[in-house]
Amino acid sequence: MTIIFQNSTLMVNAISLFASLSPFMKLYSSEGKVIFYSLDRGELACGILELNLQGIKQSYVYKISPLVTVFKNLKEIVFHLENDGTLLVSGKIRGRNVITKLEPIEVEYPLAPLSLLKDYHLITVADSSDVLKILNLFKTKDIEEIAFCIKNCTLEIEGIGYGIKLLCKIPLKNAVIRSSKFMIPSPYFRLMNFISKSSQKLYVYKLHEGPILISSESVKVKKDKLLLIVSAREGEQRNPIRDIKEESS
Amino acid sequence: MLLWLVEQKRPVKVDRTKDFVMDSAFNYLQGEVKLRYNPSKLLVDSGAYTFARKGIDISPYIIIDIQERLKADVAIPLDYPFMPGMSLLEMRKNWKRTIENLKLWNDVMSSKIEVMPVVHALSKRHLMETVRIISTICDRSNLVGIGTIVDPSFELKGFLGDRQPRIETLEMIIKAIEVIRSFGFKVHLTGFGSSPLMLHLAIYLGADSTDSSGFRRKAAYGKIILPTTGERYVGHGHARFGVVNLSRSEMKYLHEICDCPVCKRDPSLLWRSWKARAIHNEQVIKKTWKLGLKLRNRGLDVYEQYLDSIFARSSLKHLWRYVKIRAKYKRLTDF
Repeated sequence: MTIIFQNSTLMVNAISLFASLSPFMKLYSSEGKVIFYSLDRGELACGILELNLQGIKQSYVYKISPLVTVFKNLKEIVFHLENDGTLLVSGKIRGRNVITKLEPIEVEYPLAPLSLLKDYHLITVADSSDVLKILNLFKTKDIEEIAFCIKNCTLEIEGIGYGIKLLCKIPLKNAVIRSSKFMIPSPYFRLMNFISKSSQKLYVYKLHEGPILISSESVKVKKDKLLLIVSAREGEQRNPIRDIKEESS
Repeated sequence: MLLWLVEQKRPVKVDRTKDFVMDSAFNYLQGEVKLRYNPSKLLVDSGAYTFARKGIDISPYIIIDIQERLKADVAIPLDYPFMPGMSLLEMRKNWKRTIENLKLWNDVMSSKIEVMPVVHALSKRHLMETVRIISTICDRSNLVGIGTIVDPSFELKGFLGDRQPRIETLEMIIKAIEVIRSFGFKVHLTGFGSSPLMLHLAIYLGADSTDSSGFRRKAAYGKIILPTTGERYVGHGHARFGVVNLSRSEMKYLHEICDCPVCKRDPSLLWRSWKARAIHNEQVIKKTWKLGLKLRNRGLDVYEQYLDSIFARSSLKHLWRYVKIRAKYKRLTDF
């Protein structure tokens, strides 16, 4: 059986997002959906492409790098998945057909953190064009963390780095029920770029006990969507690897 | 955190009564098996990496004999590291031989000597499995070292000597620290005492032990270490790589601030003797180690602020940023 993925804009943005996270992506099927995902090396962020398709029984891992090169010049892109897991990406360059063949590779790849998607609340729905403008403001590499503070229908975004504090206040049009305050590592903030390019609206959720979820569609609707989950921290939460006892020779 | 200073048959200092010292069984294969210095505590490495690099297949019993005759407090069993270009099959074979030796060391080695296993693993999942196996074999061990760990891209991720690790290597080390800790062991980070900045990273990451051979090796190559900048060349002009000369302010530091026994007497000795350079380098590493522990005890935020300031001028800035983010944020899979 061959499955064809038709929404190429979403696929192209997804592959670009995945390539920013890891050299690999994994494909599998869950609850009547086809899922592509990629986790970064520290497992602090995960890009997920959720497609309302059926027919995949196995899971496959692919190397992404050949696709990223191909996308630069390709038009009219179509994705085919063969029965043996081979992924064919075809398109046109100056009227000529080009096919890139990705064969599944056997590597151990971490599971997608989909269990996190069960308990969440909506923080805000933003216009993608507005988000892209804000992302540009926080582009500098010297910013290490982005702090979000939502209260009284205002979103404060603060970029924090060594010797740097950049603050941006945005009035929120939509009603926000809960006020929140949390931080994320800034490299992942810039990845929202790929979600913004995939849809006119951007949905931001806070997941139970930590991570945030940015989606190209409301997570409740049964539509193809691109998601980004990013580890977040509140206050001075610490990783357990740093809790060590003093000992010296 | 323990700091083991590497010595050899030709020691930098004979009086090591206040120092934890690391030596290698490889140095005693020929000649008399006798220490020419007196350590407070002695860790004897098997020399596995040197054997592997030279293609020597040595009997484990020879290594055990040397480690016992040197009266080691801690001994590293002869392991079989993964080397670049090895096939998966060869790596599996080496992994099996390492585990067999670990059993041998536990059965044969005197109970007075603590066995320190070194973890080599073929993947993250295999890392967990390996440490579980080690925990069943080494019930008397306290410290576990991190060897080579292969990641999905099949690249070797060991930290070897003075080479700067990549972010991928650091990520593997962070993962290994978490796994080793979860089995109740303490973690030895091999070679992180090679420079002040790497030593700070080890302290910040919460390592329990590390070693430094860099202070000696750099001295032999005509280099001296300075507390917050990189290494500087003060040799005779024969060096072919890493030649960075001292600036005027660094020269002033050696003459007016550095309180190592060599600089206090005559900094020009650094240009004339490798031992003088080694003594200076050792002092810088020890001072860094003490400062790191002191700042960390004052609070991680205080330590972070200090490290921000010293890494801001360094080419290792990207490693520090990564470590800082990794220490503050939980993996998605851990929520």
